[in-house]
Amino acid sequence: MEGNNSISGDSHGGDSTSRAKRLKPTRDRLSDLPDLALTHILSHLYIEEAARTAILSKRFNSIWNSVPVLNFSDENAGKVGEFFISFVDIALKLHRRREIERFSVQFGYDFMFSSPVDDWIEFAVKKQVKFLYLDLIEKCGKNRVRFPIIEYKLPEFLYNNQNLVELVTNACKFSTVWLINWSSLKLLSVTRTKVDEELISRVLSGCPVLETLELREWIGFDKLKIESGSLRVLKIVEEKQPSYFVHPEDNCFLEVSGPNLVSLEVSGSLYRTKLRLTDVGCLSNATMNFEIMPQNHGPKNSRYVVRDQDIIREVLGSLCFVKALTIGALRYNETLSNVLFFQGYMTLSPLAVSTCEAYNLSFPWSERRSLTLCIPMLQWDHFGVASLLHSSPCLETLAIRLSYCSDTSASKILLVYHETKCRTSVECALEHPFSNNCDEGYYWKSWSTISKCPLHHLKTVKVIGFLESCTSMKPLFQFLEFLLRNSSALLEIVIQASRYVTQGTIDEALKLLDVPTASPDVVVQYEPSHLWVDPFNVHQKSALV
Amino acid sequence: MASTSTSTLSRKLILKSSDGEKFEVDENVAMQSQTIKHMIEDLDDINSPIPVSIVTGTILSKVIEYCKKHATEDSDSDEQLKQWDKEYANNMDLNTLYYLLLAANYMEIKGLLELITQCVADMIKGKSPEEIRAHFNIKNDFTPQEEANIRNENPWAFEN
Repeated sequence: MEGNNSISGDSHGGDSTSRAKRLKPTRDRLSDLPDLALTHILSHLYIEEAARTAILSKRFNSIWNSVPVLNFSDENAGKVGEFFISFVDIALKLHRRREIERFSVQFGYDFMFSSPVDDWIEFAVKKQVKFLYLDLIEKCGKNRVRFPIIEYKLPEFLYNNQNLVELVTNACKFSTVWLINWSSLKLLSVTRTKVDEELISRVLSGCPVLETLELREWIGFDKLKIESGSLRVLKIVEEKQPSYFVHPEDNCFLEVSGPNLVSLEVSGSLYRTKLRLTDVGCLSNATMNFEIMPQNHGPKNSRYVVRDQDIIREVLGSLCFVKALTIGALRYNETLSNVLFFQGYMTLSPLAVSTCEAYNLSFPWSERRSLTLCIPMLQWDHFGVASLLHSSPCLETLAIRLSYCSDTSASKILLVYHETKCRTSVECALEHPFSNNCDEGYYWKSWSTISKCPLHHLKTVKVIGFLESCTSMKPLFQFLEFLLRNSSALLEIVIQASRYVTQGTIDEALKLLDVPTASPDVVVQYEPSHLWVDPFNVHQKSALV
Repeated sequence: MASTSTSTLSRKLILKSSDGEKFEVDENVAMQSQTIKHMIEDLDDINSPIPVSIVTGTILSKVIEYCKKHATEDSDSDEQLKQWDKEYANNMDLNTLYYLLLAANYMEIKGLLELITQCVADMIKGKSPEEIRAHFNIKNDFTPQEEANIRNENPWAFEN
């Protein structure tokens, strides 16, 4: 170890014998670093944290204000409004470096601050900033935002810039008239502002090398026609609720096309009655994790269920050639009402899929190799999962990203599920032996299920985000057991825990090791090993099983 | 990216540390270092060991561990990789971090450089100047008067 010989520095001979000193290397490694490396470290800090290092030593005093990255946050600085404005102004005055890489500011914007914010951006642009992040929204508490949102209008000089590589904005308004010329821009992420089709076409024609476009909490377009040759990744996340009411009977479309897109994500709320994906022949991976939310009130009825099925079938149909697909239902938390739970669950979850099954509507055949399901894997997910496996004969990798669903939420959903089932005619068709709860494990043992799921190519199964809840994990283990018994090419099942695992769950999980397997080479892995071997972390970093 | 999974039989390279230790690695592992990438381009004989002159064997083996993990990016999700990164960095003492940082800087491995600098920055975060000095053993070469001056000149950073 080359480190050892330098641990005891001569200069510190006998001036301190405190334990803390002896445990630490006496050499000051931080100050040994070249300036470039040291400023790189300080670049990860907010500006006030970097500035406070000035007091450490003369070396630091000469270095903090030449950081290539300027990060400001009102929350971290503990200053609001005008105090924050003057705080940023002072810091910018003290900054000495000629060029900066990145300028990032996050604070609660108000109308009266438009001119100082203009000045900051001008400062950054003059220093040839490459990465510009403007998050101008007041955060009150976790993920909560104060209303109404006051939008900052991006300054005119920004529209013509050759240095920008990434531009990320939150609550910033784009001009409706200025021509855009961002010749180096590779990533544009726009949150919480109106983006209409005209603006998108101006962006696409003004950004010849744009690779990634993200629209979050978006509003303002029905058709995204991406004809750019460079744009590969498109993310459409969380539609803002429109001011008008979308009736379930309306023909309210979101249409996306892009012959060169490689990756597409549509997630979050969607106030639409149809999602149409056309001319997306190059897509190799897609994430469809949205919730159809045209109706805010009224009971879930069969009409919605049918509509949801149609949407799913159409979407899956237009993505049948996509190699890697992620689908799921969002929103599994106890704060939402039962009804919302159920709606969210119905839209793109395998439950809706399972109603298709009840209708004898199978899914379009697909070439997908990889499938990721973002579901809690509760009992009634079985039908849908089986349907998806049925339509994915080439599947090699299956990942189940467990969304959190506590036992109480699960029982709530179950309650709503049964209530609704009684009310609607459609779901009466769902009378499956399993739904009578006679034998929970029955479904995966029945011959009809086994013969339906072609598992000839399935090699890897991953379960991600395992939580402690034991009772609701049972359906998952039943499913895994089914895979072990029936997939002849299976190589591994990996179960990853994200927090501690209870003894009960471990016992349940370890039973998988005794299941007779169809494949001779299969390995079941529990990760990270210390959580499974030693659930309460008594012995950290204990050896593998 | 999914396309990297179909690895055509990758060539092997030999990296030689400053203290003469040799490491055989796949080309795609070594190519994460921009420095090595450029060296290979100029190299006639790919089979001769590539000297990584300022990096010792102990550190180089850690660098290679990182590069190996990140060369097979399709097998893990982003979160898993992040988790791995975190554990990797947390297991290092300050001395190792120091040499790793120098190595990442010299070898131009962007991801590793970001990881290590972030890890050190996290050690600075939330600590008082006294705590930072103690943690890194930074010698305060200011007189009390000079120190007070800096504080007084920059109230914007020190008051909260």
